[in-house]
Amino acid sequence: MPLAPSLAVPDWMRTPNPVVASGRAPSRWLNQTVAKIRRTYARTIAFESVARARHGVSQMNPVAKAISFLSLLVAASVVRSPEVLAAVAGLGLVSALSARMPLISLLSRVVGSAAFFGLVLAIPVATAWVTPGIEAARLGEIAVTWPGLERGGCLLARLATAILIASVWQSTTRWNDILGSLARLGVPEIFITMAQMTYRFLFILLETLGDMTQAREARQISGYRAQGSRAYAGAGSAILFAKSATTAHEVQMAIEARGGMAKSVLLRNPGWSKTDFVVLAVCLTFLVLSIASGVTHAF
Amino acid sequence: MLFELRDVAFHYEDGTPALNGIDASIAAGDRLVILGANGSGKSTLLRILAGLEFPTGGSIRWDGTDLSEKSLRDASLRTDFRTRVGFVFQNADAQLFNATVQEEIEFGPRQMGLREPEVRERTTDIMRMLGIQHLAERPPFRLSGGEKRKVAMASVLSMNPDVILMDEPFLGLDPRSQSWLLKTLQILSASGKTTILATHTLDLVPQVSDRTWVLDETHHLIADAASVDVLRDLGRLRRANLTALEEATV
Ligand SMILES: Nc1ncnc2c1ncn2[C@@H]1O[C@H](COP(=O)(O)OP(=O)(O)OP(=O)(O)O)[C@@H](O)[C@H]1O
Ligand SMILES: [Mg+2]
Repeated sequence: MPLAPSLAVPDWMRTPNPVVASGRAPSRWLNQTVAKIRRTYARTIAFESVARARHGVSQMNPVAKAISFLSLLVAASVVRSPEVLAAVAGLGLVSALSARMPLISLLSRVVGSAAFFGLVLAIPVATAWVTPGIEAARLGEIAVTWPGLERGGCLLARLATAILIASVWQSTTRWNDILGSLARLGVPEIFITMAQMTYRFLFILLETLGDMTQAREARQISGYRAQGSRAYAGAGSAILFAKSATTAHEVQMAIEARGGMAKSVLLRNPGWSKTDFVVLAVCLTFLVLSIASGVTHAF
Repeated sequence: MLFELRDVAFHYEDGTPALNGIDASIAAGDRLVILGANGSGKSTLLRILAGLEFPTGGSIRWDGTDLSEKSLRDASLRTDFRTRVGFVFQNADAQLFNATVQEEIEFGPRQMGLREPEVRERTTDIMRMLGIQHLAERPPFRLSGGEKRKVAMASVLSMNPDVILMDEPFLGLDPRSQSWLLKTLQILSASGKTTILATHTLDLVPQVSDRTWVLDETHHLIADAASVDVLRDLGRLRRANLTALEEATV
């Protein structure tokens, strides 16, 4: 049973605090990491403005663009000749330039993600355990082979190209249009809905995380002992998820209150232009080229 | 002076301007209200006073020392600042990050290195003051809007800060809690605390402040004067878009 608030202000509140021993400065790691994630998020929103500003590929018909970029993605994953792969990557860069995307942040995003996957995929592939062959270098127990390096490098190049193409597609198209065009191409609604929810949840998660670190910052005085810090990281992420889930649920209800489940509709659905057909033809040509390259080369 | 702001400007990362050329100061024991229309920059200014954001132009000093991201890394300044300045967020949801209401309220005092019995005493006292004892074991993010605001307030008051920054503190409180907050603020400032509130509800201003700042929609400080005088100067309030439509068109 709730009780009435009381006006009896306790004595400790009428006097200044006892002098508090100042601890170590808190670790900046958490705040800095969150700030970095938020910057990326701000950049994603900046990219949404790239998608809204109509230049080059951003003004393509979303469905034509979906087919074009999907065929480039398939091309990047099946291609067996380095030249064709380089050409596919080049095409990705040209389309980014045509949409006037900020190249530096695009490339840093591609290099960053490729480096991450490189660590978890390419390095193991390069070792003698996965790819036997003539040894190229040795670090204690770990031996790297020439064929392994080639395979690992090839994997990385393919991956970087695919990430580049996916980034350009995602950055020059509004999220709704990507989902809408996939629905047009016959991707089942359930996947689209899941992608929609994940995307929304991710953003809420990031916002909630930002709020939480700032709130903590406001009341945090000294550094944590490592033990307390680990306990916080554990409990904190559980609370973060619970909080985000609550917010996501509210967002869901807000959507329902305004007319039901968000359908994936194309925000922009202009007719197909000449450019659409040209780009599509170029991309399909590359797809055919890369499939054909598998027969002639051994890459 | 507790706070000295020199030509403070702030814009967000995406370029949105929020504050322009703010020159002002706040002394210990002041009762200050910051008025301004939606989006005029009140919350941003409070976050700067709370050392959570830092000016992108100009400078801010706290008790004679420069307040910046770098200077707050110094342990002794940080301890002094964080124990003496408390901030209640506009969005209570954003402020709560612990698993239960009790832990939320204990977080600050425990951070201050108080002994456990004192931490408990403060928590019990505060919950009694706000009439929220029955919420002690609940997770804060699953409370009602007004309950969240009370917990957010409790979590700051339990640290007993000298300077209390509150963003829209009356919003969402029922009438009984509103008048409780009003009286509590009066008692706190009578015992020497500095209170700085942001609001755009004019009727409570005379009761909670002696001085009023007015931010206009270009994010400039267009008034820094006695609250009674600011409230009398309707023309200025109109320029800041703070009067209701029918009043403004008279
Ligand atoms: N995180 C942010 N990123 C970009 N712009 C922001 C952000 N937060 C606030 N703004 C913008 O900064 C300006 C000032 O916002 P602020 O929240 O300080 O206003 P306010 O006076 O508190 O308004 P209200 O009365 O609605 O609470 C607004 O134009 C707002 O849109
Ligand atoms: Mg505000």
